[in-house]
Amino acid sequence: MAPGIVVAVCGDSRSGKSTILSQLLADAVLAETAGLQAAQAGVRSSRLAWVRLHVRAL
Amino acid sequence: MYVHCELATTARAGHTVQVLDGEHERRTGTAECKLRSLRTPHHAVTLIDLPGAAQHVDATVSGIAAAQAVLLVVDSAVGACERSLAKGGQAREHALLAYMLGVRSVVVAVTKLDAGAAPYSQLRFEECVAVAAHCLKLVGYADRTVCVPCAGLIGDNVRTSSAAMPWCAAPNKPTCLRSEPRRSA
Repeated sequence: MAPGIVVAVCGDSRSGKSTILSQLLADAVLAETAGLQAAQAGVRSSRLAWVRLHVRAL
Repeated sequence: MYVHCELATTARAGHTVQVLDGEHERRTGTAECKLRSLRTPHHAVTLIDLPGAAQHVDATVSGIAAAQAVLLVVDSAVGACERSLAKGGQAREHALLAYMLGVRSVVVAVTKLDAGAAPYSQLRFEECVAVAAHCLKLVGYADRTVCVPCAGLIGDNVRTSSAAMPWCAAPNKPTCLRSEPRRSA
């Protein structure tokens, strides 16, 4: 049986923690949250459509 | 960061709770610790998604206290990286908490490299590495800092290696996940 590791993912608010985790886990709910956060911050909103497509495909 | 992961079914556990809490989280960002699991060929990895905002530092402390390793996510945008790792910055505070709580394995993920005036800039990545190394040295981490360039939205260097960053000298296999993480007694 593989040994277990617990990894804490931390950093600034809006640094992209949830986005990385969503990619890592292909977690639809986290991906949607991350995309909406990016849109609210007015950062890279053009990517939002991509995120939504990605979420829909999951 | 380049993880050939077999997605564990547990990665989707707790979705019902997530959906119920989703609306609040969209407005405020992550407010509490969330656990996710995945399996690599070498380890069963539990990831704790921690809140970044200062008002949720109690949840951050709880999460770091349970961890054996820390993935410190830093925005590569000009100014954002420097601000978060400067005195009073949240990333620096999290690194300090991790050190104080005995976590000795830290990997820095320099993310959002696909954005900005010069996407996938090696120069910008190296600037962020220098800032992170200086900060972690001040905090107490004496070892060489492992930094991984990535772009979270696209997934470059997260689940797959990236052709956009051929200059990337960081380990393309997660050494933090392959080797046993260290924690002081």
